[in-house]
Formats: sequence, C-alpha cells, structure tokens
Amino acid sequence: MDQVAIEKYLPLSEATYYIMLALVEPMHGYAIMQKVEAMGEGLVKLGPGTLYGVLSTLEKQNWIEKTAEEERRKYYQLTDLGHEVLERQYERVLMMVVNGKKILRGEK
Amino acid sequence: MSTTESQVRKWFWPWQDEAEERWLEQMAKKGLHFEKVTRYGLYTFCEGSPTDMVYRLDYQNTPDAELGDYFQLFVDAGWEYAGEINSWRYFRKVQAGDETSEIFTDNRSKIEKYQRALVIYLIAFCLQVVCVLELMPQMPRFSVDPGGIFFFGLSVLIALVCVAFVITVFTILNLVLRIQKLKEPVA
Repeated sequence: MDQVAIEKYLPLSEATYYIMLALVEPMHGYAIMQKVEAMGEGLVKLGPGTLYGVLSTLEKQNWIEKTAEEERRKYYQLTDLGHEVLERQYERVLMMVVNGKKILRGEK
Repeated sequence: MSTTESQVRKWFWPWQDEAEERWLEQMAKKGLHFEKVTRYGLYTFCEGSPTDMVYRLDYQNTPDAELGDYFQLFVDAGWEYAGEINSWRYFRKVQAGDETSEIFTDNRSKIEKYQRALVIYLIAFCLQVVCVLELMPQMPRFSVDPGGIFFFGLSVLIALVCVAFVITVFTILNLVLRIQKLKEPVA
C-alpha cells in the first residue's frame, strides 16, 4: 500500500493506535488490554467488546496477523504493513504535539 | 442446593439494549438473577441475594463454536457470559466500587454493534419482501373459492408475513436512528 492509500485510514482512533502499539510484540487479547491501560495511566480504557472489534478489523485489513492460539486465546502481532501504518500515525500525532507546543508553550 | 426460579415475559427491542441492561440490573438489586431467555422473550430469573451487578449486551451472530477467543477475552476481563436472545449476548460482572465497567469504550465500537444487528434485519427485510411478492400472485388461484381452506390459509400466511415486515421495518428505522444519534459529533 502506498502513502496515499495509508493516509485515507488516518488518523486512527485512540483505541486502534494503542492496540497497534501494544502489538509490536506478539500478545493475546487480555494482555493487550492490560498493556494499553498501563500505557494510558488509567485515562485510556479498553473494554473487551471494543478490543475484539478492533482486532477483527485490523486482521481483515492485514495490519496484524495471528501468530499462535493457546487455550482459546489468540496471539496477534503487527504485520509489515501494520508497522508502516503505525509509523504514519505516529508522525501525525507528533505533528499535533509539535504544533501544540509552539502555540501553547511558545516553544519552537 | 435448591433455588427458586421465577419467570417474566417481556418483549426485547434490539435498539433498547441499554434499557435491557438497566432492567436486569434492577432485577439483580432485588435478588433476581438472570438465568436464561427464550427467543420469544420468556425470561427465567434465579432468586438469590440482592447484588449490585453490571449487565452489558453485545450483538454477535457468529456461531458460538467460532467465538471461543471472544468469550475467553470477556472472561479474562472479568465478565461472565450469561446467555443470549437472538444473538444479543448478555455479559455481567459484580459492580466493584464506584467505577463502572464497560465492554464498549468508544463510540465507534457501539455504532458497529448496532450495524452488525442492522445487517441481519436488512436481510430479513429482503426475505420478507420476496415472500410477499411470491405469495401475493397465488391469491387469484384460490379466490375461485373465497371460503375455502387454502384461500383462508394463504390470507393468514400473508397477514403474518406483513406483521413481521412491519416489525422489521420499525426495528430497522430505530436502529438507524440509534446509529445516527451516536454519530452526532461531540466536539
């Protein structure tokens, strides 16, 4: 997928962004929930219904792939395409922060 | 252990899942714990001690056998699967402290829940239209004998499909309204 094609999926929702961040390493659903809630310092909540929906969508888009299945728990990890999408989203978020800093904090 | 059961009959409208959650929570406060519900809305409650329970509904029409990871995820997150009515799945957990647990934590996933249900009602809508269009032309064949059993039977059948059709259209409209309401920008 080229840059332009990726751009049309951005910005990702907060839930999708955090779930993809968690999946830089193989992980099953509940571990993702715990990791995301730890990263979000209690501000980011991730319910199992929302998580399941995002995982299904990400797998369909081939941004993540199943790496293993143990006792009904599926392990997922980012694909190369998923990594690229996450990078593009990161740049977008960074731009928001940089612009915020310039205006709100008077930084250059 | 012997438990007393009680039954309640109630109609469940698919766009009123949140009202259903509040209702089951009220019942739990009275010590009536959801046990099961039939397709036509006959609820069985098991009598126990009054509890502050959180009930949440999701819509998943995938066969249970393919939802192993789905159920596991909810169990891991502390939810008990309590049953289903027409693919609306009931989850519950005991209320802990002031913090309310949610199974959906953003608007998008709530919208997708109603959209999954909407697809099924749209399919039902198409089938019912086909049904009426197939049945209607049969009327004249039997109308030579308007008092006959076939004419009567066919009329009843068409009437039943029409009632189902009205319910389906009503459901679709309300689900669409629910989705539109959730899509309203918050900022």
